[in-house]
Amino acid sequence: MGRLLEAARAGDRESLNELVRELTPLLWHVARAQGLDRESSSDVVQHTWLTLLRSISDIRSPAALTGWLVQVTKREAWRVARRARAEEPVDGAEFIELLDRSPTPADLATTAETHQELWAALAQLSERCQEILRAMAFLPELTYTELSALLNIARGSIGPMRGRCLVRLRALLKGGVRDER
Amino acid sequence: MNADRPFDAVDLEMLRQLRGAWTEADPAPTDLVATVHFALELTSGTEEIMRAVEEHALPVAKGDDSTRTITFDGTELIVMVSIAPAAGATARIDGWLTPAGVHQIELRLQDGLLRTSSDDGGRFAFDRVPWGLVQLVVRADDTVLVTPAMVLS
Repeated sequence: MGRLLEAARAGDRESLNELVRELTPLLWHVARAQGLDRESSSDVVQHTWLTLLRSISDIRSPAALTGWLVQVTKREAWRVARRARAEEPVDGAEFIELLDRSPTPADLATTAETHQELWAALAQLSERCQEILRAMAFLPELTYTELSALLNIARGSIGPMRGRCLVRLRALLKGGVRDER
Repeated sequence: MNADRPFDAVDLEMLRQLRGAWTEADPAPTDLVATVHFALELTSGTEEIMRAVEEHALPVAKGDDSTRTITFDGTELIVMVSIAPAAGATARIDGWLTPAGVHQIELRLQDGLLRTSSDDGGRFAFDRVPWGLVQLVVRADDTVLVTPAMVLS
C-alpha cells in the first residue's frame, strides 16, 4: 500500500483508484456502524475520498492514510447523523426506523441465513468488541494508532482490548465456525 | 509495532470469516467504487466539495416516473437541481444557484462534458442528459465547486 500511496501522491490516478478499491469496504462499514442508512453511507464515503485529494500531499504513510480516511469518514457520518436527527420532527423513535440501520450481530443471529453461530457468538460480546472486530475484519493490519482513532480508545488500551475480544470470540466459537467450511 | 499479541492463524481465519459474514449481511453497494472512481477522475483537489443535504422525490402526474430534487450546499453557494425523466433513457436537469449569478456550469458525464451557464437569475438547464453517472461543476468567481457524483436513471 505504501507504493500505491506514493504513486497516488505523485498524481497517478490508477494507484489512487486501487487505494479506493482496497479501502472503500472498510470505510463503508465505518459509516454504517455509525447508524447511517445505505444511501447516506455511500455519500459519506464518496465525500471522504473527494476530500482526500486536498490532503493527500500531507499524508506520508499507509497507516496515516487509513487513519485519516477512517477519521474523516467517522466525523462526516456523525455530522450527517446529527443533521438527520435535528431534522426529525418530534419522535426520536421514528428516526431510528427511518434510518435503515446496519443490522447488529444480535439481529443477524436470528435473521441471517448463514453464519448464525458466528453472529450469536458476536452478540454476546460488548459493543466495543463488536466494533473492534468489525474494523479488524476489513483491515487486519490496522495498527494500534488507527484503531485508537477509529474507536476513540486510548492507544495503550487497544492491545489488551483487541486481544481480549479475539480470545472471547474464539472461546465462544470453540472452533465451531471452522467446521462450517 | 503491535507487539502485545500477534495474530495467529486461527485469529486470521476468524477475521477472514467475519469479513465474509459482514460482507454478506451488509454489503457495500456494488457501484460504490465505480462512483468514487468517476467522482475522482476529473477532480483535482482544489475544488470545494459540495454536500447533498436534501433529496426529495416528487411524484409526477402521469405514470410512475418522478422528479427528484436535490440541494447541494457549499460555503457560499447553494445549488438546487431538479431531475426529471425525459424521452429515450435521458433526463432533464434544471438548476438554481443561490445567490443568483452568471457562472459557467459544467456537467461531467461518463462519456463527455456538457457546458452551459446560469442566467442572472441563477438558473440553468441541461436537456437530454443520458442516464448514468454525472457530476455538476460550478465555476464561480474565485472557486470551483463540485457536487458528489450521482446516478441518473
